Amino acid sequence: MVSFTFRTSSIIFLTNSCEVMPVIKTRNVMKGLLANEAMQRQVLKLPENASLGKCISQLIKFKLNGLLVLDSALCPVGVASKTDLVGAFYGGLPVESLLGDIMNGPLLTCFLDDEVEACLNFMRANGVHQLYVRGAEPCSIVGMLSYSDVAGLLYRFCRSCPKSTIRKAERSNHFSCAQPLTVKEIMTKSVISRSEEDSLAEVIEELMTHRLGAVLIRDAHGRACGVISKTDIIVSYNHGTSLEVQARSVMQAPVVSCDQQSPLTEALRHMFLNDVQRLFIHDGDSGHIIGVLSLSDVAQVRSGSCRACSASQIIAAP
Amino acid sequence: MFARDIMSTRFHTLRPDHSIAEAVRMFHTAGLEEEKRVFGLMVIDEKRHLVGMLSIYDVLLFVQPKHVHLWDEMDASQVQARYDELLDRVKPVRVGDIMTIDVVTVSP
Repeated sequence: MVSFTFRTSSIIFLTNSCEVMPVIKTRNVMKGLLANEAMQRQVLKLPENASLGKCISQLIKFKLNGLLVLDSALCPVGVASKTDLVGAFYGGLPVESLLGDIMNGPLLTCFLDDEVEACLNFMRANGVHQLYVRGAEPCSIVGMLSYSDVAGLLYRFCRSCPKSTIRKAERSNHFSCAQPLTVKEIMTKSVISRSEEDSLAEVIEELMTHRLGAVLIRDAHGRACGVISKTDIIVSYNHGTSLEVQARSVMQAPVVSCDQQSPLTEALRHMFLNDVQRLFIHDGDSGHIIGVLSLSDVAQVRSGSCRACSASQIIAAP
Repeated sequence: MFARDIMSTRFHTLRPDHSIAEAVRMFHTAGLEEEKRVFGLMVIDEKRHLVGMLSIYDVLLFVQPKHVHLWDEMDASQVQARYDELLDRVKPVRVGDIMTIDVVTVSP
């Protein structure tokens, strides 16, 4: 169990030989938290000679975005992600193909005692959504750290915070609450969409060009009517669906969305309850989508509800 | 004594294209008709060949939300309201997508 303490930024004056220079030490919620405390311990592994179909089945069942690929000596050699599977589908590979043909290497890892903060920066720099955590043995992988684990942790942190907007009702009135973060401030303000009449192949092209997890689908009037995520695509792949089918037949409806004025906590809860990795944001009219909020956006803000702990995010170069 | 001497030859099966909801109903029916708790069902194709096995554990893993540990911290009413929606959203997934394909078999 992770316990949280409250830390604020502190300014330390270092006396140089000729000048006094202020150094702002950045501290936030994540400070001091190690990969060991934030990671999930369940790691899926498959050998290089397993079929893509088997990989899809495992990813769907365990709701993960990728799994570890092992060589014949059971050493991890790479990762097979939903993105790789979507690429294989688009490239016309049969689902009977072997994982070794589509996996990606080298494996990006961190250690048990690495700080989560550093891991998040590393993930961002490399454009990946998860990092595998190495154990003491040369070939051992003991866990996995993903944006959704971090977002879950932030949500729990905010729940236990005395300044939390979630617990506003339990508090006496004299205790003023920190300005809550709204979805509008954190969301990505562009939405990539396709028409429900476009082919699945066109949806995949859009998804791969923009490196997205899901594409919004609009009806003939331009209103949001569904979503196609990487998960929906790999399920279609496993079912032998043609790339030429209309988006309408693959999409999930209705669109899981929330209002742009909603507090971040509300949106997070909505995502966890609906088991989605992203929320489409509307401006009061649910057919009019103006942005997207993903769990990775939330992990980057390093806060689940307000500015009380993210204020110290302002980093001044030393 | 051989496996054929004690095996039962009447059992319920699933098809890979059954929905998860249909599979859950079959688990229930099989349990009632076989008068015992059924934890796993064999999956057969149209030629009646064994293609996999679905256990109730596979179904539970799949239906359980990823962040279920956070649900403790939410109000029970909110949680209950979402369960139906969740089950509704898994529609495209079929038995064939989550079944175990490496089935351990013995000859009769």
